[in-house]
Amino acid sequence: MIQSIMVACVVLICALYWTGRMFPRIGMAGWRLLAAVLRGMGAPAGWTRIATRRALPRTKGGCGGCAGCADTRTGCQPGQK
Amino acid sequence: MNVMTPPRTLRIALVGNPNCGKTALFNLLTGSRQKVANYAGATVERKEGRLTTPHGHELRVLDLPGAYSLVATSPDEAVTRDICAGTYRGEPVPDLLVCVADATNLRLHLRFVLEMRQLGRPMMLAVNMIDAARRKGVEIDLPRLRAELGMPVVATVGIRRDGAADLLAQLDAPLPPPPPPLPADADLHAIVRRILGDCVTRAHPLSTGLEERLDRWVLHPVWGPLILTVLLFVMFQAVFAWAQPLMDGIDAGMGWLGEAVGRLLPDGVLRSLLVTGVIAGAGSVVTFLPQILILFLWILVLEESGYLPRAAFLLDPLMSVAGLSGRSFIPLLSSFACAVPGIMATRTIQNPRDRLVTIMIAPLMTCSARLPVYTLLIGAFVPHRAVGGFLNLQGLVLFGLYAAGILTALIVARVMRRGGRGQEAALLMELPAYRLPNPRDLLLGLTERARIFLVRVGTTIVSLTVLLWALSSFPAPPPGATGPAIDWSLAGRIGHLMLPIFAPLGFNWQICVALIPGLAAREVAVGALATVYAIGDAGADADQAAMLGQLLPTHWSVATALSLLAWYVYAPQCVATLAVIRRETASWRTVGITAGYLFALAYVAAFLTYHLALLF
Repeated sequence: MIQSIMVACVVLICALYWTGRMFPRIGMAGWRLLAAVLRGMGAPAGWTRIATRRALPRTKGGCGGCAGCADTRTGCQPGQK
Repeated sequence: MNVMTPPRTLRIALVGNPNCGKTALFNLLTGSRQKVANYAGATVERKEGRLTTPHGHELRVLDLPGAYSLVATSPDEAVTRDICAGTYRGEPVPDLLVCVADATNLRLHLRFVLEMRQLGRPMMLAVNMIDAARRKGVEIDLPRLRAELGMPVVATVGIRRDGAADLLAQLDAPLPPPPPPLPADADLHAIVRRILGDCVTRAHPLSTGLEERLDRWVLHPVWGPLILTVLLFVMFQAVFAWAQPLMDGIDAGMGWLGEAVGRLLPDGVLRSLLVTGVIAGAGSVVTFLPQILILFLWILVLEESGYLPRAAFLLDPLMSVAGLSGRSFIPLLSSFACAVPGIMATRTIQNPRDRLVTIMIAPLMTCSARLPVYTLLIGAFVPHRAVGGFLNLQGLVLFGLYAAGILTALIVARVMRRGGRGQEAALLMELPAYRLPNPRDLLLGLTERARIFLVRVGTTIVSLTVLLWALSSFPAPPPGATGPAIDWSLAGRIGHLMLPIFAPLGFNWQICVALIPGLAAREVAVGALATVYAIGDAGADADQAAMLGQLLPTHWSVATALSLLAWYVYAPQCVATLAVIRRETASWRTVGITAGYLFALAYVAAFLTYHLALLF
């Protein structure tokens, strides 16, 4: 049972991660919901914090499509990736 | 002298001709790790960083694309012009313009400084690469230059840790007043000549040095292309020959990890997720890290040495046949790393039509994300044997796949140009000085590459393989069902639905499933295949799951493998590339045409390859 819950959580987080990348608005709503569920369950504060942070709109430099800015959010350049 | 009081957070902009070391200075000042390369056009958009001076002043530093003039001829130069003039939307005019000039080539760079002076903004001059100029016997009288230009002048060395000390000290001082403007009809070239005569002395006259002698070989019409071919050829051989021991090590490590986790956890869904999903999926992609690093080591060495612009010059005639100019070479070369920054690098191309064609053919260059797919299939299906006594057959096939992409790109460009070369008839490109690559920079570049790759594996690839594991595991087969459980899963059903479209190419349903997550990132296809086969192959041990290369030949024919290779040469299986094409061209139509022609090419090439291979 515990194994199934853990696996379901991992799959849910991965699904939210990709929904957020492809459909940011839906993804944010999902993370907000997850944050609320985690708070309700009394989950560790760190988990709730991560979910809450993910629920906020992200500003990103560069094209946002690859790791060309090396996650520095200062812009993309040729040859970086 | 009228001195202005500095505002609380000053905004300074680094401006100058291309390849004068602006980004090296930017990295030095802000602690960033932006890409530095020994060729013009490495930076095509503004970058911003923060700096606290020794006296505690907070500064915002902008690194702008290089420009030869404020009369912009390409989109990247227009960014610099607009920001300096204060007309860039959402970007206030910088408080201080720091003009960076290459000390070894002041004749060219000072002209731009004089042009900037006409803007009437507070500015200063950083004479960069002063150490290289001194080695060449060039002495610059900085106090005199300061008097001539009417602005503060400091010497800098962008690649030395203490190379910006004088610049930092100057940034701590109050803002200088704008330099007095020149008459509107002033002859800037004549003024530069006069300033150089007054401020620059040479210890010895220019002589034919090592550089010129090297260029006689490297740019020779016969030897030059031969040297380039040999360099590229050795590069692909090295990717296979040097990486194998490291890859075997990682492979064994992943097998051991899978076994250990399998032993540690009881049988159940968590064990299945970790062993057949995460370790088999992501582990099979991590194995290719050594090959990717070797490829990038070569690219970094070529970039740092100053060879790349010479390669662009050599390939200009070939590009001309395709209706393009040598200026397209660097964006296309960048696309070997990833098409996204390659497409952004097309901003340096002046002719809009040339730029559009370069954008549309950039996805045909073999990006590093294809490398895991290529090397997996080549390693599994092409025998490891010598050809002609010294060549590796696997390396030859890899070279062939890269060459197929390049040749097709040239043909497509030719078709798109219809009528030949555009207005940008002559290639004018500054050839930088040769430099010995700095081992520290190479190490930093490779570390950064490894970090980017591993972060990608840890996020994009792990998350996709977890999702694919879920799709391949659920729903479970009904009681009494026969055949593998994966056939009843959602992934199995999707794969079987796609099969009629891809069966003529020799693909099985497992390949069809792997193509879907491969749209997010090409290399995910490797992890996806590992997961699908690990779940489907009930008898596979945990360590076998990570060894996809040994598993594939038992499930596929050689014709299928070759067909999949042909598919990957052309298929635009990268959403990020299509997104950046949309952004750079502001046209969904261009995205549609690009994706359409690439998918059509992929399908036809895979179909022909499969059916031709079946004949042998």
